[in-house]
Amino acid sequence: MPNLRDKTLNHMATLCRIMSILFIFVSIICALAFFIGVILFAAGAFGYEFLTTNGGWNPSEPGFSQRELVTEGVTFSLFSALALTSYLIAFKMFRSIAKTRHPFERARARELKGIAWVNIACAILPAIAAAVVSTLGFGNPYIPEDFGIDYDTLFNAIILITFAYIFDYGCILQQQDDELL
Amino acid sequence: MIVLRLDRMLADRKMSLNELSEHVGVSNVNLSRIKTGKVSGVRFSTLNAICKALDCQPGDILEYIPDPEDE
Repeated sequence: MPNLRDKTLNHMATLCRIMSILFIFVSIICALAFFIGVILFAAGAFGYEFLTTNGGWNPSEPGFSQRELVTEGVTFSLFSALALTSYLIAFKMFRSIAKTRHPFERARARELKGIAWVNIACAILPAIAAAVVSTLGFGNPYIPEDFGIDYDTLFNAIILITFAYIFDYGCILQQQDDELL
Repeated sequence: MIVLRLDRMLADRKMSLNELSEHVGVSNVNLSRIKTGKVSGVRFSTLNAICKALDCQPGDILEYIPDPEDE
């Protein structure tokens, strides 16, 4: 009769297997988003503009100026690349846990920290990139509505990195337990 | 340093490590880690099971050896 430990281990392994499959699909979507961002950037860099039907650029009407295309292209592709990195690390982590059924290993703790740091970069770097690119002088001026920092992602990443250090301590306890006969 | 001297008792009782692992409920792999020094402690429940299987006292299988840096 399986005890509580075995039952919990089986549930954990099943969930990690599902998560690893989910992150494959999400990574593919992120990769596509990255290429869309690159296309937007290239379109803007080569002087294309998606203008309104009147033929001019009016900020109050839908359409994309050259500078908007470049800025959005850079931020979109940068954000997608960072998100892709985060999801690939998560895929590797969940696949390892599902395979080995040993979640508390130092390598898993390092992967969790990696995901957290990439998410912090995801929250901040696209905003910096947008500020830099939009002042480089492509076409009409484009001023972002806000500073662009994704505060939700940033705070969630800070929570995640804190838990990563707690998880690391759990790995040390697991190692000590493994050495106990 | 505390050392687990299972080999001596296993030889006295003419028992193999495999048989002991079956009696104790600890895998052969984990018992073998004693030889490689990868065991830093023993639970009382495990020590109880080992002593029961080998019909011995804890002092028969536990030995204190001074650490080289203490000498």
